[in-house]
Parts: sequence; C-alpha cells; structure tokens
Amino acid sequence: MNSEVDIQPGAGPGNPSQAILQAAFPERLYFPLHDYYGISARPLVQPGARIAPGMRLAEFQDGSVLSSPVGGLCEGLISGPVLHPQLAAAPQLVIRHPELQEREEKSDSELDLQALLAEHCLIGHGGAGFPTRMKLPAGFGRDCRLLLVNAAECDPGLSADAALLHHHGEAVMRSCLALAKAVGTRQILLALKRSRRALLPKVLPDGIQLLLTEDAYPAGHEGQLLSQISKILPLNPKLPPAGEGILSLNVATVHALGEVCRFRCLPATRIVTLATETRQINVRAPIGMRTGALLEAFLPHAPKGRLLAGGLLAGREVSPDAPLLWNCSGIYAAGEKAPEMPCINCGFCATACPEGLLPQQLLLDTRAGRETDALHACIECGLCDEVCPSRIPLAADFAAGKTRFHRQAKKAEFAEACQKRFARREARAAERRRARREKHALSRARRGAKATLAAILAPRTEPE
Amino acid sequence: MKSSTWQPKQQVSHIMLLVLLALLPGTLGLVLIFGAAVLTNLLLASLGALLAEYVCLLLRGRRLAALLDFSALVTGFLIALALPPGTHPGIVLLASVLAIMLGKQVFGGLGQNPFNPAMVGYAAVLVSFPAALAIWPAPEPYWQILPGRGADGMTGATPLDAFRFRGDLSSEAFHAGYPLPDPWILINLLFLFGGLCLLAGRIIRWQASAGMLLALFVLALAFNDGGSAGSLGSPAFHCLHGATMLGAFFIVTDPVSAPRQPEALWLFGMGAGALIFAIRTLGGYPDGVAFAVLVMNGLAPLLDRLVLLGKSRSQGANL
Repeated sequence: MNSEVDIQPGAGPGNPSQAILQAAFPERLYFPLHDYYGISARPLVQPGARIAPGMRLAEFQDGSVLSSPVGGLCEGLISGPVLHPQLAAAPQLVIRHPELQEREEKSDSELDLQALLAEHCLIGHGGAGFPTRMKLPAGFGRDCRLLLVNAAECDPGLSADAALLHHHGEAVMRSCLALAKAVGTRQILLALKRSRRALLPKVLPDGIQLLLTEDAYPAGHEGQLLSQISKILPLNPKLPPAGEGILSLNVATVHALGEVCRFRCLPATRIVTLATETRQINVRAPIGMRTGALLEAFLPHAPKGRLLAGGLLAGREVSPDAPLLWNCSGIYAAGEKAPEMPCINCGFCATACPEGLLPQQLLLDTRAGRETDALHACIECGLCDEVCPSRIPLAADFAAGKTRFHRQAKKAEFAEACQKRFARREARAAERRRARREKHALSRARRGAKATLAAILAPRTEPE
Repeated sequence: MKSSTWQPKQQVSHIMLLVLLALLPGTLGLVLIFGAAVLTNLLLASLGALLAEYVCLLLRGRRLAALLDFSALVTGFLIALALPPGTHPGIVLLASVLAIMLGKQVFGGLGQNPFNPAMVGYAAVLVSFPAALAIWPAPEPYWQILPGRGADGMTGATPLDAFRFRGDLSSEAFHAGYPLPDPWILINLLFLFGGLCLLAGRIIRWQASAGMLLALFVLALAFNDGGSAGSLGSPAFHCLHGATMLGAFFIVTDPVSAPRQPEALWLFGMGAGALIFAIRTLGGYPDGVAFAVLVMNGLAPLLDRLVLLGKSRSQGANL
C-alpha cells in the first residue's frame, strides 16, 4: 500500500497467502431471480421439486437460464433484499438442505461457449455482475485482439482475487490459456498490482503477459486499465472494450468460466473477503448464503451496522439478509454511518474524482432525473463518498441512477414497440373496413344495375 | 485522466471551524485597531445568528443537531466583520437574524440558499440604515496614535469612501494623508493570510478569489491615470482597502451560492470584481462587495448553464 492509501480509514491488512477458510453450507440457500438490470426471471421449478446440480431454475427475459449450482429441495419463492443497486427486494428461490454433489468432469472437444453460458448464466465476479455471455460476442465472429484478465484488485477492503491467485494460480493460468484459445486470441494480459507481483511465479506460461498497475485506488478499474493499455496499443479508452476487440474479464470470472466448462454447472462457491477495520480474512462461501449470516459465522465481533458488499470504497450498502451472489467479492462491516447532510457544493468530490467529473453537479442532474454523459463516465469507484463532508452516498446514487435510466429506456422502447404494433393493427383493420365497404358498394351497385335492367326488360302490361 | 488526490475524511462542521479559524488573524487585527467594539459586534451577531437558526430549525421540525455544523456561526462572524464597530446593537442583531431567516432558512437551510446569507443580512441593513453604516470609527491602533489624524482627519468615512469624495486632491496628495502602515492595509493583509491558509488546506476553491482580484486589479489599472485628481484609484489601493480580501477569500468563496463548474467560478469571481470596482467608483455606498456578490449569486446558475452549453457545443464540434 502506498502512503496515499494509508491515510484512508483503513481495512485491516489483507494477507492473501493465509489459508482460505471454508464456510459450511447453511440450512437454506437463496437464489435471487433478477438479471443485471433488475428484471425478474420466470421460475422453472415447482415448490417441492428435487433439485440436481445443473438443473434449470429460472429463465431470464433474454432467454438465458439460471441453473442450480447445488442439489437440494426447492422450498418455494420468497421476496427479500438483494445485492442489486436499485432493487429493494426481488423474488428468490429457496433451496433447502443444499448439498454439493460429486461432479464429474466432462470434456468436450467441441465446446460452444455461447450456448453453454446461455444454459448456465454466469455473471462477472468483479463486482458489477454483468452477464459474461454478453461480453463474449466481441471475441467471436470478429477478431478478438486481446484477453484482458483483471487481477488488479485495488480496493483496500478486498483481497479475494489475490487469494485466488495465490492458492489456485496454476488453475487460473490454465483457464486463461483455454479461454484465449476458445475466443481465438494469442494475447493475454494479466493486470496485477505492483505490490502483488510476488503472488505469481517468476516465469509465466507462454502467452501470458503482465500489466503491472499502481497500488493506489482505483488503478485496477477497467477504465483505468484501458487507458494504461492505450499507451501501448492504439485504442480509445473511452469506448467499451468490446468495441475495440478486447475481452475484459475479472480473474475470478475466468476461473469460474473454466469451472463451468469442465463441470457444465455454475460454481457453487466463491472466495469472499470478509473485512472490518482491523481484520481481513478470505472465505470460500456458498453462493446464496445470506451475507449477514456469513459475517456472523466468521467475524462475530464485527461492528454492527452497515454491511458494504464489494469492498470498502467501491462497496455498496447491503442488507444482511441479501444472499451472496457470484459478483460479491467482499463484505465489509463498516459500522454506523453519520447521517447524510445537504450538499454544500464544496467541490472536494471533484478533486477526488479519478475521471475528472463533477460529482456534485452529477448528483443534482441524477436526482433531478437528467441523464448525462458524465453519469455513464462514472466508474462508481466511491472516492467521492470518501471525501464528502456531508456524507452523501454519491456513488450509490449514481449506480442506482444508471440502472433507473436504463430501465426507463427499456420501458420507453417497449411502449414504442407496442404503439407501433397497435398502429399497424389499426391500419390493417382500417384496410379491412375499406375493402368491405368497397365490396358492399360494388354489390349494391350491381344489385341496382340488375334491378334497372330487370325493370327495362320486364314486359309492359298494357293498361286496360 | 487525473490521478486522484486523497484527503482525510472531513465533516461540514470541520470545514466551518477551519473557516472561523482562518478569520481569526483578520479579526484580531480589527480588534487591535478599532477596539473592543468589534468584539461586541461579534458577540451580538453570533448570538443573533445562532438564535435565529435555532428557532427556524425548531419551527421547521429539523434536527437541532444541525446547529453544531457551525454554518450559522460563520454567517454571524462575517456580518460582524462587515458592520462598522460601534453600530447600534439592534442593527447588528437584525442583520444576523435576517441573514439566517431570509438568506438561508426560507430556502431550506444549509446548502439550499441561492444567495450568500451574510451578504443578504448586511445588504438588508445597509439599505435600511445607510447613514449609520457609512460611518466607521477613526482607526486608533492601540500600538500608536497616527500623526496628522485628529478631529480634522477622515473620521467617519473609510479611506475608500473618502477617496471618492476627495475633491480636487490628486491621489498622491490623498495618500499622503494616510501614512504607512495604514491600518486598513494591515487588516486586508491579515485576511489575505487567513485566506491563503484556507487555500493551502484546499478548503476553498481558488478560481473565484483569483477571478475577483484579477478583475479588480485590471480594471483599477486601466482607469488609474497615474494619480491625477480624476484617477479612480490605484490597483494596490483597491486591492488592499475596504472589504476586498475579506470578500475575495471568505465571501465569494462561499461554495453554496457559487457556481459549480470551475470555468463558471472564474466568470463568477471576475464579475464580482468588476461590479465591486463599478460600485466603488460610480455608486454611493462605502463599499461594493455585498451588492456585487449578491448580483453574481443571482447569476451563478446562469453561468453554470452557459459553461455547460459551451462545453457541449465544443464537444459537438469535435465529434
């Protein structure tokens, strides 16, 4: 850690070489049925059904499927808090007596990653939880220039990725190489913090290159990495990486992807950093376990109050009843928070923003419902929260704003489609009515003509 | 891409306390020169501001803990420093109560006020009691009694005021009546020192202060014809007299009533500087800081919009 990070209200020192603790499976697991944008999925199992690993649990709006990572008994649907930035609650599938059954490795020479990920909807392990499937088209059909594997975890409250590299380094490398082969690129760039170089062997497998980043937060963010890469490769760091032929994935996602390919099943656990101000441990925890229960099991003396999911700075406040998802890399027990005060426009956030934005202006715009380019440029690093003297949760507001605007756009799109369909239907009905009228007019004209003809042709009766 | 700068966690109350701390050198200077009457002003204005804030919070059903953010105290201090020592206690109380009620709480309290509350209060009493507020006691520094300054001196008006009504005197002859060290210059230098401390601690943004001083300096330079009877005052005279430094570092820097965009802050400061010069040289009030700042406060949202419009235009041109 450099001196700049040190003056932060700190997380306890993370030691990735410590053994990863194992969390026991709880009585019940909860699987939220919402997608990245918060739209609910359609459940495919009935209460009382036996669940086997890999079984289809629910279907998302885009047709992809949430499959079960564990076996057990389906108990039904409940509604409860989730990790999503905007949803207060979402339907969750409850699986009772979950068990991790022995999995058999399936090897297939012909593997269609797209189809596989549609059947087992894997989400990114970095934090945002974007479906991995949606990132892959960049690598297919057109040339994927580069596979960027992001292990430069820079939040002071996280060390889960580092622990993964330390304990499963070889498996991660194998997964990287296999994925690069599958998407058809030879270039793999592994982004890593300079201070964590020692986690990896001196000599890396052929084809994997290192991209060493600064230790300061948020140097490990995708946008910051891309701007670092743009000094070597010609690319526009402001564009999404997919548009530039870069497949950018978190290191834990790549590892999980390897698991999905091998077992045809979503991973049932992930490594999570549990942290307080003084302690940091890494735990392999079951997906679907409630975050509060997880923290209670390992850090019973953690301060009560807010839980931050996803690190100290980038973390979002989350209910202890929200189940752990694949995208939650850490849980930070942050204690009570000072109440929010009104913005006094001091401008500290603008000095802190690594993207050079004006968060105070952005807050006004977002709360007033104005969607701006600056909102989409925000990387939600949370540095503005850290310096705000009024304790305004700026980053959380921006994250919620992004999802809200996206859902509004989707809704507007849907409404427009409906309107168009209605207009087409109306046009068709009008056309039918017109045709019918014409037909009637024609037949009336015919009948009239016939009658006239008949009148002319009828034999005249002479008057007596 | 900018590298991020880290700061320890601040609270609004810390910021306000630091502002009060930075006001101390200038305040001490005022006390040394004008005597204990300055302290009476401070006491009355702080009391009035805190009381008004308390009553408003009570009436609005807000948390009374908001008193402890010290923003009302800063407002009271600024009013006390703006009013001449020895002003009628009723006027001081009225100014501070009006500042909090009309300037701040009617808009929704901290962070919501479009105008600088202290200047609202000061301007309200200034237009109501112009004669009482135009008279400052003759500076009587405790460490010396200035020679040539007696009953026939400039008692009653500040040098700034006196300069405008100096008649046929050339500015050189006028300044000869104020031998150095001039107490007003000393006070301004002390406020400048406090302001520079705030800047160094990154508590205030620098653009507005820089813009205001720059505009005032440039305009004074342009209209200073070398010191004849028609001169409007040298740049140094304008920058080191009146409430210039207090205004530049403690009043135009009020973040709430200032624009948000850095470029707009420049315009905001420069507009204030230009207006101060105009009011000092053309207007009838002892100083122009309060009115200049209030006018620019009203323009602040417009300046923000202008800058944003300009930005989106130039971005459109680049695409």
